[in-house]
Amino acid sequence: MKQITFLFIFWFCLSAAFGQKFTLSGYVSDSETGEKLIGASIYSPQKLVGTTSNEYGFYSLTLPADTYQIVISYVGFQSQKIKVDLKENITQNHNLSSSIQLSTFEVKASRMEQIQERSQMSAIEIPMKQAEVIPMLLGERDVLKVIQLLPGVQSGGEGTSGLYVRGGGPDQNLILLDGVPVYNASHLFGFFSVFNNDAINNVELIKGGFPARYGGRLSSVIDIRMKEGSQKKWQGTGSIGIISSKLTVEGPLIKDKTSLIVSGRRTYIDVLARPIIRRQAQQSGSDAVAGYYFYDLNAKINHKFSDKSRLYLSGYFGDDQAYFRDEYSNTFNNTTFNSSSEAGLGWGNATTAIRWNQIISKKVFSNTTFTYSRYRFRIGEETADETIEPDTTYGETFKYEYTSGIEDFAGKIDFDILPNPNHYIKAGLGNIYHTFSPGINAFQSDIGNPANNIDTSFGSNKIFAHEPFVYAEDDIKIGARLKLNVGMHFSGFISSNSEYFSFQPRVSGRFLINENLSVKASYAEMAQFIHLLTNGTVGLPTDLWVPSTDKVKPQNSKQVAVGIAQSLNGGFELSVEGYYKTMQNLIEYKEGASFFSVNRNWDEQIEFGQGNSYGGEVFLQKKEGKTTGWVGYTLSWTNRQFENLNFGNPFPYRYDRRHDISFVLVHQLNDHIDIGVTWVYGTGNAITLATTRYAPYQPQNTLEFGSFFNDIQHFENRNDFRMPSYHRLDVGANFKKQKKWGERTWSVGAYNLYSRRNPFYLYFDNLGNETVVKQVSLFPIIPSISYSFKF
Amino acid sequence: MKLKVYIGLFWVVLLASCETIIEYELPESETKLVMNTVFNQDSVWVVQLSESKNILDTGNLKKVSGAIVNLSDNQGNTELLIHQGNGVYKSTLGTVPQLGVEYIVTAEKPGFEAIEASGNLPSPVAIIDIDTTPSLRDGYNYYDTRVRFKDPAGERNYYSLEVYFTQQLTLQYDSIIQSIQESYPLYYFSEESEFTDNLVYTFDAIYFSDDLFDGQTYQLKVNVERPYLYEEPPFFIVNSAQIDYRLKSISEELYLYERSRTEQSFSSFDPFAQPAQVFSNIENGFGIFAGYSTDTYSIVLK
Repeated sequence: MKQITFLFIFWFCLSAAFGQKFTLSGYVSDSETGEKLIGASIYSPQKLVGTTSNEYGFYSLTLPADTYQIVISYVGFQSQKIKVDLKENITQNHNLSSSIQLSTFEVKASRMEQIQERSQMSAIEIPMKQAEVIPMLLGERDVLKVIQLLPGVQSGGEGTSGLYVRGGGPDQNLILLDGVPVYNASHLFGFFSVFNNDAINNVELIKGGFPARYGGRLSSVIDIRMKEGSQKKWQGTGSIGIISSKLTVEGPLIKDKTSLIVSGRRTYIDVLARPIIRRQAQQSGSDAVAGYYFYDLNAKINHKFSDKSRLYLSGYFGDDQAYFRDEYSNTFNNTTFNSSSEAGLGWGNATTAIRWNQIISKKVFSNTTFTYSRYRFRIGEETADETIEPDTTYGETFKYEYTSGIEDFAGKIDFDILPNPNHYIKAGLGNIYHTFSPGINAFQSDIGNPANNIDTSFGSNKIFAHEPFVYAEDDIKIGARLKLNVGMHFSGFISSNSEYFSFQPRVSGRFLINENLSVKASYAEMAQFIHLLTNGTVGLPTDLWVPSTDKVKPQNSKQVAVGIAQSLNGGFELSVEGYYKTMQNLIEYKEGASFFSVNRNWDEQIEFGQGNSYGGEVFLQKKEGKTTGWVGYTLSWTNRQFENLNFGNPFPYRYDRRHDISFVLVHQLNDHIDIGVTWVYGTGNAITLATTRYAPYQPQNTLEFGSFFNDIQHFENRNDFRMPSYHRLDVGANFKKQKKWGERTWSVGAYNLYSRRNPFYLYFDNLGNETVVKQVSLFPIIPSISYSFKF
Repeated sequence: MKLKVYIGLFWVVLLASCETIIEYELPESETKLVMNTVFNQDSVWVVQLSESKNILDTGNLKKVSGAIVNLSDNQGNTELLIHQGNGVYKSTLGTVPQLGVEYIVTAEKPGFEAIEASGNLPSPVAIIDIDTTPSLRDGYNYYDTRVRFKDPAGERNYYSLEVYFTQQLTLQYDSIIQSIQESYPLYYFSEESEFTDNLVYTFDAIYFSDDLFDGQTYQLKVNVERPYLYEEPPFFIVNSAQIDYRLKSISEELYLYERSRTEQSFSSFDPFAQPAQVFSNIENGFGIFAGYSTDTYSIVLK
């Protein structure tokens, strides 16, 4: 006991000798809108220490009592240099001005936390200002398509927004919108994502070296933060494009206290196409109506109770709807026949989050969140036939509906603890309550005879499960050169027929070779308790989210990555990384199966296997100045192995892409015109093609009648052929002009400028005297124009 | 279900307008011998021989004549099968496959790589009994049927079940009286959800394994279409009618072949399905060499 007392006194004296420490804390915001700035740097050049603001703009920097020059900086904003006399704990909020207001887009070099200084590797923050200039299909700005232009990330097919990160599947991306998982991030069969750029504040992609705070998916985290809404004044943005229009309005409900942002988007393909469809239908003697549309609605309210306490309520609602209606009536011999049919296809997400930020002390920030997320898919048809005779009426109705979906309720609490500049601790715990509805069919038929009427439903039962998790991580600075992020994520999955638990160690770090160059390494284990039963060929809304069960084990992965990060002259950043990833308990449809053949339980339709992916990525980025952009190159190999597929032999993953290059250039010619150019190249997707055909077995006694079976097609190996390579050049330009009421922008662009016929899929076509390979392409050159405005 | 077709049509229409024929270099695929032989105890040895073609070659698949087809077994017997025309090679000694014997067949022809395959007859598994109960489902008449059999323990067994209707008819028109026999497979299905995991449907049979009932006396539940015995004396008379339940004990090779062939056949109509590879056990060639044994249980209707 005496020894402990002695040690305590010794430690106390030592601390006193080194002087007392105080904390500088607060928020960093955009001075114009009050929007919080995520990842802003708060740095003391004289002490060479600093921190960054978290996802709510909060920062905390604890230093020995002294007078400091502190630089607060953020890309695209003018840096602030302040003098702080740190003799007590100080709360200080900082409002940075956008550098665009300074009549120049150019950002002077400021002391930011640079790429080589971060312990995190394999992470890229998406510059939203650049995303507004990067040309896109039909001029629809889409943050997921910007992510596709980054190394290590591949798109699924032409024009689609699917993501395949470091050899992972489309289900292995944790796409978070304000911290809430979004299960199906695509509209219109994947051609557009559900994210409306106008409502987005910040996007970060993490491909490896995952911090312990993230869990539940194997391959990537895409953390999208919505804007909070201007605290200062009411303002809006909007645009009118070829297929959709959108409008965002934001402003203070109570100035500097409560703000609101509402953003909506709707397509009008159905409205534009309706006269054409109607005319076509009338020419064939029908009254049929068909159409398709999607919409998104984002809304967020945030209220500041005090500098220490804020409340956020945010929501996203989006749906895709395709419909078909037809009616027919005919009278003949005093008998009238009426017939009607109606079919529909719809899918959509809804997410909501209520979040309470609280600064518990100068060094402890807490965030308590309750979320709801729902994805649902529905396909159905209804027909009715009626015959009216002079003395009687009879008829029949038939109704079919297939529904599937997933629904989550979740609660969690997270803490940011910043005891001193050498430690940044994050810890938290939570639980997700899942309800899986993996495919329910409902039939109703009324044929006028109650004995033979049918009213039944069948399919897979709902499955309920809890997914608890707890994590802790510390970003530790050890000496001047070494910085480590060490953490542990523990999660479980508990349903009525199975229980799984998983410890997932995470570590990443950097070692500074010199002030501009560091070596980085990371190791991460991930577990994923839910699976997406997806068809390999195209991403459809029919893709089924299914849980781990006693038959279907959770997916898990291990990834190791090493690399270098360097800041170069002229505002360039370079990162070169190599990675190796293994994945277990992956699922695939059985051979020959697809959604279209699923009339049975989903877990009867799948095979289990493993995969690996390895390769290297080079990323050269310029974030600052009038000319910005990046060049990315990926060299990778990705394989799968399933006991019952390809006769148990390993085979290349469909998205095994040996070479992938992206070039993105954004240049501001002057205050009124900026241009964007992108060029992408990728090795063709892997496909399975038959090489040989031969006769099937036919019973002896039927031979004389000729063959009544199809010839058998022989596939040497799964995915052992390649489609032609993919490449495309997109260009776009924005023409801005100040008006009395605000600013207007005309955006013009061209997708696939040199009209490359890129392959979507290949197939054999028998032309009678020869069989040929046909390639189906989707988009030739597609020009676009849109008008947008800010007020 | 029509809607699924609509979605498919949507894609077909959307994509058809953007098709181009491309030069695609497929590797030259060597033409190989194809041997198809499914044997049982009730018929003499027959081997079907044909040749494969490159997938881009639209010509007819040729039957192979002039090959040397040799059948041997582990008892030291050997026999040259003789070409009967149409690529069919047959035992002229009337040799019939026997239980417990391992057979090897080879085929050689100049210009082709020699092929070889081996296999044996699985032991038959007897149907213990069959219960049938008439039922009405969705307006159609069925027999709810239980086929009981004892699965051999400690080994993996594969089965197929065929249900055939056979009737003997007398037809009279004008002054002509004609007697005919007709036989055709009856439609049936199984509702056992656990069982359907291993179930493969073909046009006249279902194929399944004993994974879920190894060593047990198993009652296979199937719903069999109830045949209608149409009579209109004196013009149309049914003399006899029966349903034959044929439980075939099949080799693993035959199960894998039928399963994968069916999957490929079904998936060829579905552009979204994964391609299915078809099993083959012919060394240096393609096709199937596999045996089965049958036990038949008949229910006499008239």
